[in-house]
Amino acid sequence: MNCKNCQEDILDSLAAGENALSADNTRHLVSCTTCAVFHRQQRELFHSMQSALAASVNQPVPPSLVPGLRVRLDENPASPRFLLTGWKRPALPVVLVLVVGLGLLSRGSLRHNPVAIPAPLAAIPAAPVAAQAALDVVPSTPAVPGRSARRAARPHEDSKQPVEPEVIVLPEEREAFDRFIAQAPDNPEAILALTRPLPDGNDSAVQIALLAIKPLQVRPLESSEE
Amino acid sequence: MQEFVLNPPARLLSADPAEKAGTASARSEFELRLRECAPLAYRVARSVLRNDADAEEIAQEALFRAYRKFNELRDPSRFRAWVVRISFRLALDRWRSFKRREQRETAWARLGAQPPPTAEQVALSSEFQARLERALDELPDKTRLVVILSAIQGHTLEEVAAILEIPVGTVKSKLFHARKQLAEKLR
Repeated sequence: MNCKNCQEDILDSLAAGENALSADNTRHLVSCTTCAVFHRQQRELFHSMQSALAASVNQPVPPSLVPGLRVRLDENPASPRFLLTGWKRPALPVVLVLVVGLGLLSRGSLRHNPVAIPAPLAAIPAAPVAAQAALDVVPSTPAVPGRSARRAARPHEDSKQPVEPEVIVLPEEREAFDRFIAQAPDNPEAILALTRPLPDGNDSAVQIALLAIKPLQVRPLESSEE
Repeated sequence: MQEFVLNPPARLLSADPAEKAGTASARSEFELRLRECAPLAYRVARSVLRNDADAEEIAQEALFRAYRKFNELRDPSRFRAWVVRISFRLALDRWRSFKRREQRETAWARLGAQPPPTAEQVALSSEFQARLERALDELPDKTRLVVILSAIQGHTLEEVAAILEIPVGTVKSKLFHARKQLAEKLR
């Protein structure tokens, strides 16, 4: 057996806490003085190491350890489970501020961005109403209302009643409607057509004609230079 | 071995009856475990810090923290492992802060601040012991804890494995490599 291998085996067996060596190593130790000395030295080293480690670790426990702990426990009894401890305690105010801030932000954004009604759609009355009644409902607000105008357009906000939809009418449309009402006595049929429902089966207000394509005429391209 | 007497704390007498009963129950359960865990916590801290006063302080802190969280422990059999880990972690933190402070201070201030060594410390502070401690400090934390726990009297490999909640084979492997490393540095 090789001396190097034998010494490695000796170290491995000592590190593993085994006292006995293999038969090959034992035979080698009998014949090799160098390895026998190495084995004895390493065995002593490991033994000293274990002894020193045990002496260092197994120190007598000071008698004041447990009484001191009891005093501390009496002064600070265990906190109930529901109380926040550790990192949760300083985090609580931060979380509260965040929640309140987010709530205020979302409320503010709703107030400053009401659901915008497109002007052309808003100009059309939502339900078939009488022309004069519709005029009474429509507030006299500009096309792009400011804050005060919006506030004025919500008369029922404070009374907690259901708010009527805000209808925006362009000034020129309003003038045209006024002219139409002024000429109404001259055109009673038009008023009737607007205020009466259409007969059954003919309720389509607009008729859309089919797409008609005129015959195509193909001509050769003419140069602009000629 | 010192005697541990169960003394009901004075604060419990003035508490709410239900709360008092719960706290007293937790306290008595905790006291039952103190007999085994207090020396263990102290020895683990002492192995890292090598200072009696600091080790006592750390062990008390570890046990106090364990008591504060005692109700949250679902598996009581893990209490010992829990205390060992808290104690080891606290001791390591303290030891590292000592090291950092030591590096900041000048040599003369460091020498002046050291208390006179006790007879026991003189006996233990042989050159070999000092070299061993230095070598031990250089081991990785987990390996170091395995070496310390296995060196504590009466601990088998199985018990060390149970405390650290790792397989016995891992304990054996860590011990094997740690011993080889220590022997190499002491040679």
